[in-house]
Amino acid sequence: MIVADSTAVTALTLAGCVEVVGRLFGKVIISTTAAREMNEVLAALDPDCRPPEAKDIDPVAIDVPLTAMSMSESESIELCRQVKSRLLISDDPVVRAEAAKERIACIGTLGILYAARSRGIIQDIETPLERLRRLGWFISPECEQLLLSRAGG
Amino acid sequence: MQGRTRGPKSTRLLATARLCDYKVWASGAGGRPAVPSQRPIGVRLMLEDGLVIHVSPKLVTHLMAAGVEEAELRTVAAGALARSLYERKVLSLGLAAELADVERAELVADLADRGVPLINLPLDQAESELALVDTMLQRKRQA
Repeated sequence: MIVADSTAVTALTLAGCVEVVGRLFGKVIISTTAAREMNEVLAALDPDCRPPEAKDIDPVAIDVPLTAMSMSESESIELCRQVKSRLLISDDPVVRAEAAKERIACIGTLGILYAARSRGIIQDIETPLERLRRLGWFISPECEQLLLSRAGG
Repeated sequence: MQGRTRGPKSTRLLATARLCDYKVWASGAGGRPAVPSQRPIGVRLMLEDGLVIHVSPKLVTHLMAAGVEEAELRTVAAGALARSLYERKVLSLGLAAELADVERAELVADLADRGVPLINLPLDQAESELALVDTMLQRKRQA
């Protein structure tokens, strides 16, 4: 079972290709707090955008003690612990650092787009990147260049 | 300049000071009642009960002239600090939103407007991520 926080799945939803997550990993779970935050961000940036379907990204309620991260971020790490996931889907460097302490590997928008392109699930990288740019969801130039050079545009 | 004096409690300023109407108060030493100052002597902005930003008398004068109120300054300071620490990867997006005292969606929209990258991994982490994907795909092919 794979866990996600709200960052990468929000980006992939805005990019119009969140279904690749389900095709790559099967059902992914997300805390209800993270799912709510994702929906709020989607509504703020692109009101026409449809949230991911539960068959791909399934919200799960969870209680966590207060930690040094925000509620949804803490929930994501705790979900990984509870379902014994060794992979977290996140773009947030701080969350990824916390996950690394628990020996949880992380993959984000870059890796998922790269995987989807490598497996032929998406035809090109530029189309989702252009959608993200249009909505103001920018990727740092270094990361974008790396992705384009490795995935071939 | 009263505001530049350090140490004595009599020159400590209360966080409740307002920039717009010159009601900047100095707290009395030894718990005595606070007394009003005749002119701006600086303001300490309290952020989240702990972080204090000292605004110099010169700046207070300038801000008052510009009609900037303390509440606005507090909001601007917290927002700028949150954005900066997020960009420097010190704070997660969620914590940055908490520091700025806004909803995550509001912070994301603000970062988007300012062109701040929301996918901004250190290059070595990004390379490791793509290498991880290569390994995963290779395992899948072998399986």
